[in-house]
Amino acid sequence: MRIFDLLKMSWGQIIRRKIVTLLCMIGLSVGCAAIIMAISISTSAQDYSQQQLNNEYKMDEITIQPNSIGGSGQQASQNGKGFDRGALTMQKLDVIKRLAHVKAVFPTLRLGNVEMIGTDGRISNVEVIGTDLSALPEFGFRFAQGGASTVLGAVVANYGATFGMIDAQVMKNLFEKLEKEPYNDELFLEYDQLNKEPADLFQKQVNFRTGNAATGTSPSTYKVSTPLRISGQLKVKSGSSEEYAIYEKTIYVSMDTARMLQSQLGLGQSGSLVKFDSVTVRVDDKKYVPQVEEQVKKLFLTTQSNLYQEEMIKQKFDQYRKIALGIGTFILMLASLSIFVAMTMSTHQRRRQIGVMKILGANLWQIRQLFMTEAAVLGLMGGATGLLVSTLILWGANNAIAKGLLTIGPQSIEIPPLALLAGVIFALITGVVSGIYPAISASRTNALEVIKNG
Amino acid sequence: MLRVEQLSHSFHNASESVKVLHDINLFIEKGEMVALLGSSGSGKSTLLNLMAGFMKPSSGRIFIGDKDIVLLNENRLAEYRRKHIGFIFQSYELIPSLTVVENVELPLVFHTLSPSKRKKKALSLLEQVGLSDKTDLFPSQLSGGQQQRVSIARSLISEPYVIFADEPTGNLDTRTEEEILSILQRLNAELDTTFVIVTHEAEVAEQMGRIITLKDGVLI
Repeated sequence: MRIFDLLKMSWGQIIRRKIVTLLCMIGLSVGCAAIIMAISISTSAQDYSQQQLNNEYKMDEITIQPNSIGGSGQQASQNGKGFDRGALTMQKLDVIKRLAHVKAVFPTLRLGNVEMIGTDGRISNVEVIGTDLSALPEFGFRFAQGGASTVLGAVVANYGATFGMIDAQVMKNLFEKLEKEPYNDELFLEYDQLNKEPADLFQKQVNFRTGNAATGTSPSTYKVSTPLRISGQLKVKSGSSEEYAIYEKTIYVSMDTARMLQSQLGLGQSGSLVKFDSVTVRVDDKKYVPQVEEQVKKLFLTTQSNLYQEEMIKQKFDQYRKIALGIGTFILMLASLSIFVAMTMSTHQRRRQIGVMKILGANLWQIRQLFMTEAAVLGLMGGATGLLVSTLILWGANNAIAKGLLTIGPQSIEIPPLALLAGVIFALITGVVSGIYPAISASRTNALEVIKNG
Repeated sequence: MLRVEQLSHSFHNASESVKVLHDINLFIEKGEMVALLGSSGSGKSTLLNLMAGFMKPSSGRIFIGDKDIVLLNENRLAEYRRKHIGFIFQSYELIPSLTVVENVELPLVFHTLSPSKRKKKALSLLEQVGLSDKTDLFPSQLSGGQQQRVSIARSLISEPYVIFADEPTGNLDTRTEEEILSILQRLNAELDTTFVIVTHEAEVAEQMGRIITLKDGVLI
């Protein structure tokens, strides 16, 4: 039989039995719409979560650290003598910089904590980190004022470092009071207020100081650096809270300045200027993260990326999607029951007609084809209606999200073409599968019997 | 052309077996118009159903052309019916959802003939039975006689060797009965198609070329 004839005859039956067709289509379209919406919502939510992950966890970054296992030992690492296979050296940094897909590197050399003294004598405690200052913008550091400078002694203050410059005497008095009254909330509040006091350090001169003040018989052990200049002040890092950023006080210095501070103040471990504490690497696309990690590991270094977070999110959403698809499939199964019942009824009502067709020469397969096509057309119509229904519902949901009436995370729900296809295919398959038994049953009709007995 | 040899048939139920046809031997030439006459229960409809391949006989052989249709399986029989056998029912048996022309075309839908060719053929046959002005109506819009004419046109569309008609005028009034019979006679003469017509009315049988009478399952 020609497809055209099958479709024409099926269509004729479908439009003749309007109520049955309507009932079948309601079930199918609800099931199909449920599947399309399940896929669309979970895909949009997953995309949204990944976007959030990218913002918070920097999915395209790898943190590299020295490998202490299997190296020549902690001792060698600390005293800088002998061969330390797992050390994160300048040479390895150069190799890492040249790896394919590596966009930028941010070495970190922790020099330790120092007192930062302003020209007005006010002091705060900061951590000093040696790095490549030019790489700061590549890693999400945004300058509020100024920028990185290659001049020896030019340093960059992070957001927190520009707060809490306190007069030494005031601080000393406050600590003495706190020693006497450790549970005095007002003193703590005062201390907190002082810490939140902003200081304009931009282009100002500061000195770093280590050691202890003179006490009783012990002389002062202070070491003070040569003057340094704050060439740039950073904003709060994206994703961080301003409230907490105040307490994180860091000064970034160039490797040359770090070397200078080491000789002046004895900061960091001996030999540590050629061994970094960590290096953060940014690759040009997150898909290359595993490849770059593999290469870095060959340098006997340990790596850590945030891809596992993505995998966790993916697994979570896959689970949600499976549940939603399960619900959609369940609805479609119910819908398939309606088609099954409708087609079986139709088979019974049309027994005489089937008998005539058999007498006129229709074979078993042709009779089955007729009923299967009818079920498939019903499925397709249900699928198309489901597609329309889901599009309308999601359009309404997107409008509600845009107007702030609905908050579900993503700013909009996109319908992936795959979801549309999946919904319609599911509906079609449901139609065809539920039409199989009625089709077989129809083809087994005893033509003579039904003509004789009606 | 149509040959029946030693054909016997029994119906079985739980307790007994009833033999309705006894060693029937029959030969019908191409182009003949034969009446199968008999009273109710004589076995004439059973013989017709066996010859049309709707049932398998208990024993015996049925040849249409040189093909023994007793040996064919259900699908081959369907194909054989589609190509070589036409059927006219007492109650017309038209498909209510199809128009007159679509009903006539129906046997060819199970072939692979192009829609335009089969429509042309159907229209030509409808003209021959005098229904060229009713082609797009539905069966429910026609009288009994008109419906039977559609049924006749449908039986002819695949140009069969033989057309079996089971009481084709059984549901019609006398005037319409005459009309139908004259159409059948004309088509038999024009197309040289073999007709085997089952009837219990002697008046109808007398208008056929040959009468085969059955009584209690035996040819007399």
